[in-house]
Amino acid sequence: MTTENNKVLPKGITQADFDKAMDEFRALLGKDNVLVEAEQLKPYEKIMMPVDAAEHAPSAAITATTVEQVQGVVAICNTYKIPVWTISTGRNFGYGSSAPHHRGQIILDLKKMNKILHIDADLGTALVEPGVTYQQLYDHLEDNNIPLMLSFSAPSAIAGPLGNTMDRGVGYTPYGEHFLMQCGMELVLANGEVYRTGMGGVKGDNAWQVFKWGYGPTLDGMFTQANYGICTKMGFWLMPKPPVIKPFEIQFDEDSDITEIVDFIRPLRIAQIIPNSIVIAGVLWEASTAGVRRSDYTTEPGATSQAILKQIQKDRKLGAWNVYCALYGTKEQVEVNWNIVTGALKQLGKGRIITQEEAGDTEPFAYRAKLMSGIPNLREFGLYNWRGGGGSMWFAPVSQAKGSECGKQKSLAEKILNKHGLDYVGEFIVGWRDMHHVIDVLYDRTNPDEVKRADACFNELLDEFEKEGYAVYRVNTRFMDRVADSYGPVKRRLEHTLKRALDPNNILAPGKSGIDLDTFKDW
Amino acid sequence: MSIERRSVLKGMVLSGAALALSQAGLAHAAHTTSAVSRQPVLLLVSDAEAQTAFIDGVKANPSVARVTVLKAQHDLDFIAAFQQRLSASKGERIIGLVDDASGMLLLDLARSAGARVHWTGQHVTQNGVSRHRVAATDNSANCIKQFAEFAENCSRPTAMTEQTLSASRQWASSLGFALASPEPNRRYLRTTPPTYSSAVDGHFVSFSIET
Repeated sequence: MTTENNKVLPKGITQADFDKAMDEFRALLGKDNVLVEAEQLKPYEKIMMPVDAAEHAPSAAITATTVEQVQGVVAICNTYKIPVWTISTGRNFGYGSSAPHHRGQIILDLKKMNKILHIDADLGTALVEPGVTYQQLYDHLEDNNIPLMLSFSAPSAIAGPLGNTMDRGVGYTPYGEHFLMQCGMELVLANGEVYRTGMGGVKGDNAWQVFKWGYGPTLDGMFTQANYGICTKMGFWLMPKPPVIKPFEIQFDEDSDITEIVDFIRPLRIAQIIPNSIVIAGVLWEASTAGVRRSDYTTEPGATSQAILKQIQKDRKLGAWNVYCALYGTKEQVEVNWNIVTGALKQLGKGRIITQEEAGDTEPFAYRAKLMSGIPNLREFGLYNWRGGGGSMWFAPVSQAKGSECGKQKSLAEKILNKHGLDYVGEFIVGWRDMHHVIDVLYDRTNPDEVKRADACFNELLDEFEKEGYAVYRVNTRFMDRVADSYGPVKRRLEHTLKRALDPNNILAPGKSGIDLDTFKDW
Repeated sequence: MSIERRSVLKGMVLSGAALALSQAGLAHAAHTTSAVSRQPVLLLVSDAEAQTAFIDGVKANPSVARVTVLKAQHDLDFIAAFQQRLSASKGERIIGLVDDASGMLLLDLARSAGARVHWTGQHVTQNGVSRHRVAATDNSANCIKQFAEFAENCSRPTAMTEQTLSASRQWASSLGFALASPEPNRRYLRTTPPTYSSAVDGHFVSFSIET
C-alpha cells in the first residue's frame, strides 16, 4: 500500500482508508488516472469566489473513461464513504469552476469520456459523453458537412453540452433553453446501477433521442443541478441550419429604457417572430467584451461613476442597453419577420438598429453574431479584464419578461453593487416568458477589503432580492446552501428524502444545490 | 481541429518569429555556486510594458538556457494552438504573465491537459503600489520567498500557501526571475533581477506550468 503525501483528506476519512481507496482507484483506472500530488491538484483549486482556495481543495482527482469505471468509482466511494464531486469539462467558472463544493472531496473528472456517440442529421439529434466540448462538436459538424447548428453558453468552445445542460445553462439561438432541448440521459446511480431516462430503458429502442417522456414518471429534471446520479451520456436536439441567419442589434441610449425594451421585445419573442434567446446587455458588459478595462478610465477605487459609464458608451459607440437578436429561415421568412420587427420599433419611437452589414467585424457585435449563429468564440472572457484580480461570481435572478420587473431588478442590483464599491455588469437573456438576469459580480481577489465587500455584496443581493420575491436559478458552490433556502423548507425536505433513498452514504457531490445529508437538519 | 488552427501558434510569436533569448549573450549572466541544468522555457506574455520587466527578470536567471516568448491572447485560435501544445509536449516548462482573461483560460486548459501547475498568482498594480495573491505548491514554495526577497518593499510571506503580499516597483522582473528557476530552492547568490524606475501598472495572472 502506498502512503499518500497529501495534506487534504475527505472529512472523517483516515489516512489509512484514504490510501487504500487510492490504491483501489489505481487498480481500477490505472495510476495515471489517479492524481494526488499537489502540482496535479493545484489547477483544480482555481476558484473565483471570495474565499481561500484551500476551502475548496480536493484530496484527489481521478479520471474515468468508461461507464463501467464510473460504476467502479462509485463502489469504492461507497466502501470508504468518500464523497466524489463530478465534473465534465469543468468550465463553470463564475458558478464555481472545477473545484469541489467543500475541502477534501475527490474530483471525478470525466474529461476523457469525450466521444460523440451519435449524430442523426435527419432528426437533428446528438448523443454525447460528458467530456465532449462544443468546439469538438462544432468541428465534427463542419468536417462532416452536417447541416445542423449548435446553441451554447458564452464560454462555448471549451465548455460542453452535457455539463451546461446538467446545470441548466442557456445559449443564444432559438434552442437557447438547453434543458428544453435535452432528450435522454444515462446516469450511474449511487448504488452502481445504470439508469436511462425516457425511452432509454426499452430493449431495442431507437427513439431515446426523439421522445422525452417515455412512460410513467419522467425524471430527467430531477438529475439536473442535483447529486442523485452521475450523467454519463446525454441526448439533445440540434437546430437545422437555416438558409439565412440575420443577426442585428438595437441600441437604446438611456438606462431607463429597459422597461420599454422588454415590453417591446416580449410579444415578438413569444410569437417567435424573433425566435432566439435575445440578449439585452448593459454598457459595461459590452465594453468589457470589446476590450475596455476600467483602468483605461479610472484608477479610483469603488464603483465606476455614471459619468464614466456615459463616456464609455460614447467612446465605444454603445447603447446604455444593447439588444441582440437574430432572424432565421428562408430569405422570404426572414424578410417578413424583419418587416414586423422594424415596424414595431418604428411604433416604439426609439432604438437604433444596427445590421451585420453595418457593424462589420466590430466588437462586441461580431462575437454576439457568432453566438447567435452557433459559431464558438471566447470573446466574453474579456469580462475578467474589466476590473481584474480574478474575482467573479454570477448572480442570476429570474424574473417575468415584463419591463417593470426588469427595471426594478436592475435598479436594486446596481444600488447594492455600488454600495459595496462594485459595478453593475449585467445582461438579461430573454426566455419565452422569463428573463434570466445575469450579473457578473467582478472584484479583485488581491484586495482583502474588496474580497470582503464582494462576499457581503453577494449575500445582500440574495437577501434583498428574496425580500422582493426573486431567487436565482443557479449559483456558485459557496452560496448553494443559502440559495436552497430561498425555495422553501418543503422542497429541501423532499430533496433530502430523495437523497437518503438514492444515496444513503451521501457520496455523490454532497453540497450540490444545498443537498447534503451530513449538514441538513430540518427534517 | 483544422490544420490551419494547429499552425496558428507559429503566427502568434512576438514580432513574427520566436524571440529566443540566449543566456550566452547576456553580459550580466552571473555564475551560480554550482552548475545548474539549463532548461528551455516557453514564456507567455500579453502586455507590452509588463512583458519587458518580466522577460528581463527571466533573462537574468542564470538557469535558463533558451526562452521562447509568445504573445498570449484569449481568442479561439491561440487557445486551440496552446491546447495542442499542452497535449503534444512532455516536460516543457511554461511560465507566464498575462491578462486575467488569458490567465483564466490557460490555467484551465492546463488542468484539462493534465499538466502540473507549480505556481499561480494574481497581480494588481495601481499608482505604484502592487498587490499579489500568490500560491505555490510545496516544491515551489521558495518561489514566493524569492519573489518577496527581490521585489522592492515587499511584505514578508507568512506562509507558503495562498496569501496576499504587497510590493512596489520591482515585482514584475522579480517574478520573472523567481519563476524561471527550475529548482526554486536553489539560491542564485550573485545574481539579481534588473531594477526598474517605474512600476508596471495593470492587472495580471502569473503561472508556472510543467507539461
